[in-house]
Amino acid sequence: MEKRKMINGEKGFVYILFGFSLVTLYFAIQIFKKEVSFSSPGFFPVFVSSIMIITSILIWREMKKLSPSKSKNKVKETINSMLNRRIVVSIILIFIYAFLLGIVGFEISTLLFLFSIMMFLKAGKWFKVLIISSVTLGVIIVIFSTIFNVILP
Amino acid sequence: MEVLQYALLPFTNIQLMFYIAAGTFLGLYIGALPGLSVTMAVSLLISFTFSWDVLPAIALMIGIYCGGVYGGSRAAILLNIPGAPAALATTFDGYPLALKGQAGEAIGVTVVQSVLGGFIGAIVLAVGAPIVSNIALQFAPRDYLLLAVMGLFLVGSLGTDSTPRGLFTAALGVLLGLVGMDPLTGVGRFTFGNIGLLSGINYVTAMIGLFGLSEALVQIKEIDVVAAKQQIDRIIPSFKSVVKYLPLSIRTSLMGVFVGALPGTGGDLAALLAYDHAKRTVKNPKVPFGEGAMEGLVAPESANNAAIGGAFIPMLTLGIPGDAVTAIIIGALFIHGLKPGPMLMVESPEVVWLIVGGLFVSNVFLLIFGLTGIKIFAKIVEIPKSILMPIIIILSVVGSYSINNSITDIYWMLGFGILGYFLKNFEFPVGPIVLGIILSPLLERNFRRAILSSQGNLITFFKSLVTNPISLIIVIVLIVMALGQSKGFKKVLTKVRGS
Repeated sequence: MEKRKMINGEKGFVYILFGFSLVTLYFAIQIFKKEVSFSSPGFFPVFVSSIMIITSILIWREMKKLSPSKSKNKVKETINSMLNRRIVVSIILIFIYAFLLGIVGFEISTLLFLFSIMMFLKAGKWFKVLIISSVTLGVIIVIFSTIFNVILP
Repeated sequence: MEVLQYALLPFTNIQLMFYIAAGTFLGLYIGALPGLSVTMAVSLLISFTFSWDVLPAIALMIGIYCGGVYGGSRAAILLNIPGAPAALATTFDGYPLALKGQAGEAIGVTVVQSVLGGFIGAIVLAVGAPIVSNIALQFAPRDYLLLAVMGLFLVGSLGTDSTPRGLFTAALGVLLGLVGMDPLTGVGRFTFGNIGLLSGINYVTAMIGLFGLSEALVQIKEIDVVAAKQQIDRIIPSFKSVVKYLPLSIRTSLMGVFVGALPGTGGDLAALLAYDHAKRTVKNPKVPFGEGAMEGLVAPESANNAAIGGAFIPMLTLGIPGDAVTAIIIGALFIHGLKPGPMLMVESPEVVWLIVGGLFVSNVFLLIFGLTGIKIFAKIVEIPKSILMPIIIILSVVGSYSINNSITDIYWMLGFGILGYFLKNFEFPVGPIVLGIILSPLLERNFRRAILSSQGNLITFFKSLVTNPISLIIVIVLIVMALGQSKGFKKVLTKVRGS
């Protein structure tokens, strides 16, 4: 079977996971130090963090066997593929939506979110997107408020 | 008699039957739409149905589960995209058949074989669950610990090409499950002085983020990928063809139930193994495998639906999920105050037998919905991702909010969604995280109980693992599994197969 190529940014991501595992081990040891025994609240977190460290080292070793990525500017290409404009704007819109939910309520914020993200993703002309957004909002309200008895944000 | 009464509930109670039918219908379309998964749908559903009575909520989930596992095959045949991981093997011969203009026939065969597999899975569940449950009543905490380790090991090693990646995410899930107040001593762990974190991380929020939002983000990233459409004609298969493939279907269904019943495995592995089995045992197929062999559809489709019944066995009897969807259904049972495990059959037999009866009813509806409504189906599959994904995001937001009516939960869900997006992009499986979060309390509680019953001595604990027959059997199975994953063993296996 042909080995897959290393994904741009993959090495950096594994380093982050390794660093995160080290941090969790540090905090787990702090809990363990309060009561040193195998049945203490700290033993299991130490054990699990150690597994994370060991497996992240194994992932790093495995990764070395992958055929290296041929791109010249890896940082730029990572951003282009992983965090391209479409993803970044979508995530920002979702955060704005979550923020607006607490201020202007579900109906207005959802309509605004649906309209803006669908326009951004080029779902169609503005009036078509507006109709789809309004119908979707209406259906969500009817289904979730009446059938599921869910309290909407 | 009481058991029969409970098992017949989905047949006699119109409301429950309606929920199962609606679930199957929805599941079929959710499974068929690329980008939407059964796991995503069921995780969203938990947050919407937690205020319901337990039986209707479970009935709806069973329907979605059954319909969704089958639905995945439609996208596999028509678009060459497995609608669900369990439908991956279906693409091997399903898409070549569609290219030859035989999409309708392929869909018809998959419906009938899925239903056959589903029935066999439900029968084995009905027979096997009480037996396993009785054995499980004799389990000690160390045995539960070993089973949970087995579940995590299997899901970590079999769901991905890289065992360390699977195990890392499983461990990450377990660690996230430890956040909050220690239930035995009240000590706060990884809370950093935040009172809100004392109650722990809500696993439903994590599920919605990891399966719902992250998938929507991945789909948005790949929004330009457009799959080719296929023509669908006559889909009801002939009785002769059903009989022709029956022996293979029964064999692979039983295989599916067995693989599905292993904690942590699921329909995806069952389907791949069944496909491999068909390839090795069917001599001289009419069309070669990989070019449109009907046997290549029969085997994975009967196996993945049979695996549903199998997956419920460890979940209902041991409290250990068979796959990602049953992991989420365990979460639903917890929310409704039930404790899946050997006592569930004693304390809430109606839930166990509703699931058994529900699987039968769902498969009946699957046959009806699967063989009809092709024109509507063709229209729904064409909904562009630029419309579908924003709707999924809204459902994820509403779902995460509705658990505690808290905006903070939405931010948690967003965090998990972004984490899941990166993990998926870098080829890390996210399923083990959710399984880890759910199994974390079970793992730790049983580990500490086992240690305490060994007087806090690790040597006595390890001794108890080999001196107790049940524990010893599980330890041996675990060692065999670990060896099976080692590179040396895989090399030997390849050599043996080659020769």
